[in-house]
Amino acid sequence: MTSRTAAPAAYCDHCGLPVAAVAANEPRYCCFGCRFAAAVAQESGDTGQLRWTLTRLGLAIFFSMNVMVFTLVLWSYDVYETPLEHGEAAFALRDLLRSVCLLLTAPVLLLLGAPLVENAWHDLRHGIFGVDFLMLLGVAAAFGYSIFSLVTNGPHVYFEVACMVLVVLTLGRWLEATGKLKTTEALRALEKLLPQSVRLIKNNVEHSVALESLQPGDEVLVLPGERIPIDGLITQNRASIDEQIVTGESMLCHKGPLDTVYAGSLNLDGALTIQVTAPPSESTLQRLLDAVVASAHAPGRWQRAADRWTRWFLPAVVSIAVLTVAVHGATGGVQPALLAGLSVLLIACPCALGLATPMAVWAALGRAALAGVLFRDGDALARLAQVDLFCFDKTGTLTTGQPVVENVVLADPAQRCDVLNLAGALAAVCSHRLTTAIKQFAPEPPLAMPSGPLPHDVTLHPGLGVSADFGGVIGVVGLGSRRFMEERGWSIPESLREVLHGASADERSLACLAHGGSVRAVFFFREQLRPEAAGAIKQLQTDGARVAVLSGDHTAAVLAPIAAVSVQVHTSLLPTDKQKMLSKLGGNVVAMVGDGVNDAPALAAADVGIALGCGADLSRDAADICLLGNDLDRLIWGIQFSRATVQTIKWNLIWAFSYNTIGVLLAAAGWLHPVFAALAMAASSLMVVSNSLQLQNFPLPPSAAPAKGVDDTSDSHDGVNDALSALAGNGRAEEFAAAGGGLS
Amino acid sequence: MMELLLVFMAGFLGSSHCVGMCGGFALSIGGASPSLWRNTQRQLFYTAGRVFTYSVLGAFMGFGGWRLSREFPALVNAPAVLALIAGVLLVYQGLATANVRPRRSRSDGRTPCLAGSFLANFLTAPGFGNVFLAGVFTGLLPCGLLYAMLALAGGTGDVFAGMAVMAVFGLGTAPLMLLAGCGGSLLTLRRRQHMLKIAAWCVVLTGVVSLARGVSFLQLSASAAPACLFCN
Repeated sequence: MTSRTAAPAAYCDHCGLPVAAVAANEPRYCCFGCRFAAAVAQESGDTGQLRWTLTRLGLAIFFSMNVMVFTLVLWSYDVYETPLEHGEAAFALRDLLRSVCLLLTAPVLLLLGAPLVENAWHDLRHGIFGVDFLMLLGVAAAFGYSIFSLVTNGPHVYFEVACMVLVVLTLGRWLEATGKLKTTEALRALEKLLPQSVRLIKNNVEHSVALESLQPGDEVLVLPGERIPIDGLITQNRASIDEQIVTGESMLCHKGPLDTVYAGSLNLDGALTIQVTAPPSESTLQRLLDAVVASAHAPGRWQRAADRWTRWFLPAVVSIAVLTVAVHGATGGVQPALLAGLSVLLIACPCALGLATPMAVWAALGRAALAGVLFRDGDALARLAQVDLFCFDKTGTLTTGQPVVENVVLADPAQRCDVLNLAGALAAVCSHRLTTAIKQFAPEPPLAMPSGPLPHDVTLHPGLGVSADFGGVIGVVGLGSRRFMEERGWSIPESLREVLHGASADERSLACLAHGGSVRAVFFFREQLRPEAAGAIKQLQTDGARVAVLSGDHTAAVLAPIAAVSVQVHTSLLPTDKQKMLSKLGGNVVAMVGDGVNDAPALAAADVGIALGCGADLSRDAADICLLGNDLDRLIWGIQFSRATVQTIKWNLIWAFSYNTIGVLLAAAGWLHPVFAALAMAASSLMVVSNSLQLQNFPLPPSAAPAKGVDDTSDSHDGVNDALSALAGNGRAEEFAAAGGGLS
Repeated sequence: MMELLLVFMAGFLGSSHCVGMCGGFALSIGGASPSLWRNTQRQLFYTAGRVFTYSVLGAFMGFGGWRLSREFPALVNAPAVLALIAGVLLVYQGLATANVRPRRSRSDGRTPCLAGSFLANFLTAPGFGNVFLAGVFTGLLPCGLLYAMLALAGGTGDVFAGMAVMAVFGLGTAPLMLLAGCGGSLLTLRRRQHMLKIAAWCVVLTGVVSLARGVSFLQLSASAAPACLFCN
């Protein structure tokens, strides 16, 4: 893993988001809301408890409602504007109402003030001079002044201000924390995929042990229908395995002894014994999770800007508040000064500004991971939206990496059927991408006799080819490179020699088939374009980006369908040439899309490096963005999603910034009552939170979309099922049924 | 007095509508209770919480109405306008319930996530205090009938009168909610449907009375307006 994804310092114990301050050996929370929400969550987990924290909030709201009603009565009788007209009775009524307000306010102060004091004290001890402390000061001032006013028969009381500020502050922060928790829901759903305990096989006896205790070399048993808990090698049995969660590949794969399996993939139909190759903390799924979590911690450009503002904001706000108190105190007396100062503190609380970027980025990173797109950090997410030049690697990126047979040239056309049958039979016994192509080759016109003799004594010649004895009149048959033919001393007929000569000039990939001592046929292969490649490139161009293809070889014919949509194609580039090409092509923000194998330098050099199919091997590449699968449509999805995210961040920032500025001006002028300031503060933060959570409703790409009937938003109660259905591809149900049907 | 009686009837008969919305809450409150008496107690506390919230909201609206009519006596006849708004809302709500006007289809039925998790904590908690609080917060849930009544409370232009309207309305909703919470299905489906129909027309009637009141207020202020011109 690159240094950019180094382990972050600490996470909030409630919402799982990164926290700045590190305090050892005690619960860590990123804010007062999370501290409060964690207390609520702990109590609701334990049904025996009285859920005191939440009851406390409820009671405080109840008392505050009472205070408000009595305050309304106080106001509506306007006893303090013209008390003399109403006489002594009005004074007595006013004092009675004020005392009732005091009696009802005191419990609110105790109920909600206490946890806030606790939090502010905790912060102060760790050297954090937070907004909560300032607000406490404001509340205390309002309450103290009211008591003073009550005792000295002063003109105004502000019990309702103290109550409402506390209630709105606590409620707002708690709802905020709940929103934050939702941004990391997708990740937690992924975490829960792995079982807590596994079946360890030791001396042929099965033990149930904790997943964390597994060591490389241990053997575990994974039954059909279970998720494979760890990376390892299969030692016994075979099974169909659904690896979409790690590789993004929606086809099932069939694995047997000595095949590698990845943590998180689903064992569909075999009881596998697996030898552990990596400790649980380094398993594929865990690294995937770590990468997403780490990406949330890396502060992006937007985040740094917001942090900078926030750093300036607090001292600025305190100065404005002090100034407000001073000016109003000099001109209008103590009470308007107090109210205006408190309003400034409340409205200027930079909560919304501080939340604007991280909330959107956190929500977006989780959603993207669910779609199989991993961003290394928030910056990559933002940069992708601005890319105006996309460079594609050819082999393995625009093409599938699995060639197909383009044509066959025969030495003697009369032998067509026999030769093709021999090739098919020989190709069937070994697995190489070229033999796979021959296996899949359906000749036109079809063969009169579709199956041929069976080979025995198959010998693999690494790097050269394969040979086998078919016995009888046929004898030894060889399939392989031209060098293989020459090393074995098999003669090449004149007609084929010409063809081979032309081919070597073109660097076309080919395979020769020989039997009876001479070469009988030459198979020519070509790469095939990914089915979605042309559509994806067209989409990029429609969106106004330029597209270029950087190819290592010069067989560009395969790109014909893409070239038709005016794409620059540069061939015969060495890996370092690709890197140079990026700057030569000159885009403002350049993205390189590759498979991360031979284009790593270019991926690292581009403004945005995008690697395909890196689910099983996240640490391998230097890419900013990893597409778990090989699907270029995910790239298009990622671009659209990053644009939506940047849009959300911008709106969040614009909203938070203008709200703070206008609010502070109003409050400093004394036109904003503290109760409304508190309400506006909470509403503003909640708006930023809910606006960011909208990103979780962004539709997933069709190939990652959940099965029919399942809602694709993550606010379903069962996050795990959601994650699963989102990660399971289309048609997965049918495949599963087919696999099950095969068993029964 | 006549008006409060109508409000009570609107609450009482309109509460079959409430049972649809809040009946689920009432049921979940009673769910864990060992006995009918215990359940009834819990329901009473729950209802008391709701009535409390309605009264507070009524006080706010009454105050708001009073302030409006005081601040802009010549520009807007606040009680008249509020009474008219209430009337329109009530008639609309009543007609919608009576199926005369097509009902808006229930939107996807997804619970409001944050409020939902908040309420659930109180609904299932032991102790009467929590049930009371559940009532307090349920009273804040959005409801068309409630808004119409609040507009009516605002039209009174007085803190206490507004409180009274809403308290009476809340008390009116109590009987059926208690029944729904305790007895579950003491009423047959047919009877409930009948009830719903009558309730709907009762709500319409309250709306018409409110409209008439608003119109008479407007006429009053129209005749009073020239007098003001002479005064100044």
